[in-house]
Amino acid sequence: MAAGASVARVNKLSPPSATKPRGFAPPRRVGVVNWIGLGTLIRREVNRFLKVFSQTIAAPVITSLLYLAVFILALGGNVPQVGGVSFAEFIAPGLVMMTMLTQAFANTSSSLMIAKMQGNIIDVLMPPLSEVELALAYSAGGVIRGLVVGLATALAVWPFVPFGLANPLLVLFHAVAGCLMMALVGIFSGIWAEKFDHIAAVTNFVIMPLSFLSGTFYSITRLPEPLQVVAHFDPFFFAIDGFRAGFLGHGDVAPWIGIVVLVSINLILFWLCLRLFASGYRLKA
Amino acid sequence: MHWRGLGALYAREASRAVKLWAITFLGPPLRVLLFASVFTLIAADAQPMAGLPFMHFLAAGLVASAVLEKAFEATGFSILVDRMEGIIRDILVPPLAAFELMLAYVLSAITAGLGIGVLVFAILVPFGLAWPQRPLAALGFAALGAALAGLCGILAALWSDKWDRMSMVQTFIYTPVLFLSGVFFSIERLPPALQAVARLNPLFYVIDGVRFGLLGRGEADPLLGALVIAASILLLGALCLRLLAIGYQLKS
Repeated sequence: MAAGASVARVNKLSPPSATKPRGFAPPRRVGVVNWIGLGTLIRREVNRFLKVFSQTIAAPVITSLLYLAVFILALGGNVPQVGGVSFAEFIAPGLVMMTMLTQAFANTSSSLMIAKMQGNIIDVLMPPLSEVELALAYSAGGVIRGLVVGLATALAVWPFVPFGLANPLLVLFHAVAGCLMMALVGIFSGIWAEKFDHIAAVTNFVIMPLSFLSGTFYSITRLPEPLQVVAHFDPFFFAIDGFRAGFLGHGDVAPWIGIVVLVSINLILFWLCLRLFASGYRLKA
Repeated sequence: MHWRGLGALYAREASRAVKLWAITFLGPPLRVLLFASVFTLIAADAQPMAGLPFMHFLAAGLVASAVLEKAFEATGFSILVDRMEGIIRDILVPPLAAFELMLAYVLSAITAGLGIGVLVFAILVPFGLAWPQRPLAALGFAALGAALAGLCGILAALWSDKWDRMSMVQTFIYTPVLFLSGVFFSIERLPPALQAVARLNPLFYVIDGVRFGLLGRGEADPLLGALVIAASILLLGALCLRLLAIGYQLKS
């Protein structure tokens, strides 16, 4: 953002006129980046989910443990190894990633939708925050929620299924990239949705099916040929596969392909997100 | 008996369950479809479970779990919404006795549960379900299960004072108990201590009874199952009746 633009933002708040009342502090100069505003909005987004941690952290952890128990009790010792590791070791990282993806989406979508419904979205639109800062702060909230829940889930799963950690950097990259992607998708949904049912519909009909069918529970080599091709157009698959490869040491596709796909998708989504915030679509109506 | 009031409340509750069709009537079947597809991909050739082909065992369990989930939500969420929005008094003021209130709610839970059950059954036909071996037993166990789940829903909604608590009951208690009661696996696979617990759990007998009705074979004696479920319904029904009569969390 150019320096001229930031000056314009200050000017919007206090037009330069000679009739400035005495005794008031001059308006804070906002630099290229409004660090205080950005930090405040991130803190607000994080506090929002920490305040109800039983629903935002404990509930997804319990649900993942439940899925793990169900799949292991139903199929443990009953299905062949997947790619050289036991079935339990295979699905554990997949479940962690699936939980992270759904939680990152839930954070941004619910935050924006509730703010719109309650009308307090104006408190975010009025301050001198550019679309870049808005997009960054909201997606940071989603990514942090995803990472916190992912860490909690991994720690809860570990005692039951001790999985290895082959490449921590690969794990970290896919965790952040996957959460960022879903946080951005969540921003779109939150801006588009007008009531809870809309978010529930997106969750039920888009997010859940994609996270269930994108290799959380099976290697895509088990899919019929045409569906394998489809899977290679599914960003969830790359996020889950790369994340798992970071734990197990190998995945269904080479890690660099997943990295390229995720980076490009995130760039496109982020650009779209900037356009949406800038246009004020369904926010400044 | 106030038949007209009972009928009106029942009609309102049942139509409410249908109105939210996008969430309530498509959400659970879709989830069931996802579980069935995932298990088909992983475990098409898995060993039999409790003497039944694995996918048949699973499909019958999924039908029962959909009935139990839906019936719980039908009464629970309806009462909680009414309480939150303050319109519960429209139900408390008319001359309806506690017994009639409870009956209307339970009947609506049975309607919603059986409706979802039939839908999920139809969806799972491609995954191995065929025309039920004992249709009446399947319907009977599903109806008894829905009544039991409906009572659980009423109790949860009376106890909750906010949405948070209701969803906590569902996430931390009801769904785990349901999922670990033999929907996905035979309880023989549980550690011995948990097996004993499962055999005291009425939801296990509901799932097993529905499976007996659909596939002609279950893990427990159906008669014993029916007795356990009936006894639990009487017990929870009595508690529910008492709470409705004193207006617990309703008439404060």
